[in-house]
Amino acid sequence: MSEAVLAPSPRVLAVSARGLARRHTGRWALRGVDLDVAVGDSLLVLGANGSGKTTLIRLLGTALTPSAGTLKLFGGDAEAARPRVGMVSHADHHYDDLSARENLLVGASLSPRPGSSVDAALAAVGLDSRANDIVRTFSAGMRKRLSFARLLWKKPELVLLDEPYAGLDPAGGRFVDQLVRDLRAAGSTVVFSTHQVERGAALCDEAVLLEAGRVKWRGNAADALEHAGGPQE
Amino acid sequence: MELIYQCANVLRKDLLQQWRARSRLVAVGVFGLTTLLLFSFANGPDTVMLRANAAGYLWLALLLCSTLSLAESFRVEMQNGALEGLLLLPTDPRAIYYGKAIANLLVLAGLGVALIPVMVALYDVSIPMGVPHLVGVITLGSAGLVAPGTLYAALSARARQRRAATPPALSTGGPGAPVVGQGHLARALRGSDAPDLELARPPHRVQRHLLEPVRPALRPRGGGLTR
Repeated sequence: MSEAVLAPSPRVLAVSARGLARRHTGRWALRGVDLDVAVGDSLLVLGANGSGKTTLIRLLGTALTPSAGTLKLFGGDAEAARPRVGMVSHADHHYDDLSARENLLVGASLSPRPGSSVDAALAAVGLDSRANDIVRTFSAGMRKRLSFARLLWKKPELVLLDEPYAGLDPAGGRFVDQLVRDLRAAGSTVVFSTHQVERGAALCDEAVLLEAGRVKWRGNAADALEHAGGPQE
Repeated sequence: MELIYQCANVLRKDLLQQWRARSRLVAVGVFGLTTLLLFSFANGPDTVMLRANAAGYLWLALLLCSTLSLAESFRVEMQNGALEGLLLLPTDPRAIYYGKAIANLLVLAGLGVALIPVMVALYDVSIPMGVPHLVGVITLGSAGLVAPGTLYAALSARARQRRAATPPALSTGGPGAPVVGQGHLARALRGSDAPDLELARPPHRVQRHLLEPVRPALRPRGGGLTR
C-alpha cells in the first residue's frame, strides 16, 4: 500500500515505483505498490505463494509491462535500463540444445554492454568442467548455477533474484549467500524474494511483505521474521 | 550496423540449434517426402497430370513443412523463456525477427532443394532451365513463405495451443508466395514455353462447379425479365 513508502532518500534511486499494478486473466496479481530502493541497497521480498512476489520481480526486470502505475529504474525509463539489470527467475532463459559456454556466448554476442569473461563466470559458479556439455543434460541445480553465471558475466547494477535457493543443494545455497554479499560489496542493488526469511533477512537491509498483491508491511529486514509469520521452509 | 551484427549472431545461434537438433529437421524432411509421395498416389498413374501439377505439389509440400519448421523455431525460444532472455539483454526485436527468418529460409529452401530429386523421380519431370534457376525460384518462393510465416509463428508462439494456431495463421498469408511462384517453378520444370499459371481460372472453375447447378433455380420462371 502507498503508506508503506519510506521517507524520501537523498540518494539516487535504483527502483522507483508508484501505484505499480499487474492484472493476469482478470485478476489483480499486484496492486498499488509504491516502492523505492536506493542504489546499493538491498530489499527482501516476502510473502506466501501467490502473493505477487514473482510478478513484482518480473515487473522490476521489465519482463512484464505494468497494467497501471509507473516504474523508473535509475531515475529513467525502465526499458532503457535493461542493460543495467540482471534477473534470475523461474524461467532460466537457457537454450537446451546449446552448451553452457555457448549459452553465455549468445548473451555476450548480443549484449550492447561488454561483460566479464564467459569462462571466468562459469568457473565462479563451478561449471567450468561442464562448460562444453549440452544444457539439456544439466540438473535443476546446475541450470540455476548457469543462470548465476549469466548474472556474473553481465555485472548488473540492479540484481533481481526470484527464489534463488529453489533447486539448490546446501552448498548451492551458501554460494547464493556469498554471491549476494559479493554483489552488494561491488555496489549492486539487490532485490530478492525467498521463503527462507531468516536467511534473506541476514543478507538484506530492508524487507517488504506482500499479501494478495498488496504491500502489507515494510521495514527493517531484521524485523521481517516477526511480520512474516515465523520461520518458513 | 549494430542491427546487422545482432542479426548475424541470432542467425548463427539458430543454425547451431538446428544442427544440434537435426533429428527434428529430418522429421520435417520425411514429412515433405511423404507429402510428395501421397500426391503421386492420389493422382494415380497419369504421368501427364503428375508432370503438369508437379510444381504445385512441391509448393504444397513446402507450405505444409513450413507449418512444422516455423512453429518449431519459436518453440525452442519459448521453452525456458529464452526469447524473454534475449529481449532483456536487450536485443533489438528486429534482429531476432530477421535472424530467425533467414535461418528458417535456409532450412526451407534447403528442404525444397532436397526434394527436387524426389520430385523428378516420382513425377517424371525434367529440368530444362537448369538446376540453378530452379534453386533460385525455390529460394525466392521460400522467402515469400518464411517472411509472413516467421511473424505468424512469433505471434502464435504465446498462444496456449500454438501447434494448432500456426497453420491457420500461416494459411491466411503464406500461400501467396507459392501461388505466385508456381508459374515460375512450372516453367523451370517444363521449359520456357510452358504457360503461366492462370490465376483467374481456379475461381472460374469454382464458380462453374458451385454456381452452375444453382443458376436455373435463380432464373426467373418463363424466360425471366423478357416475358
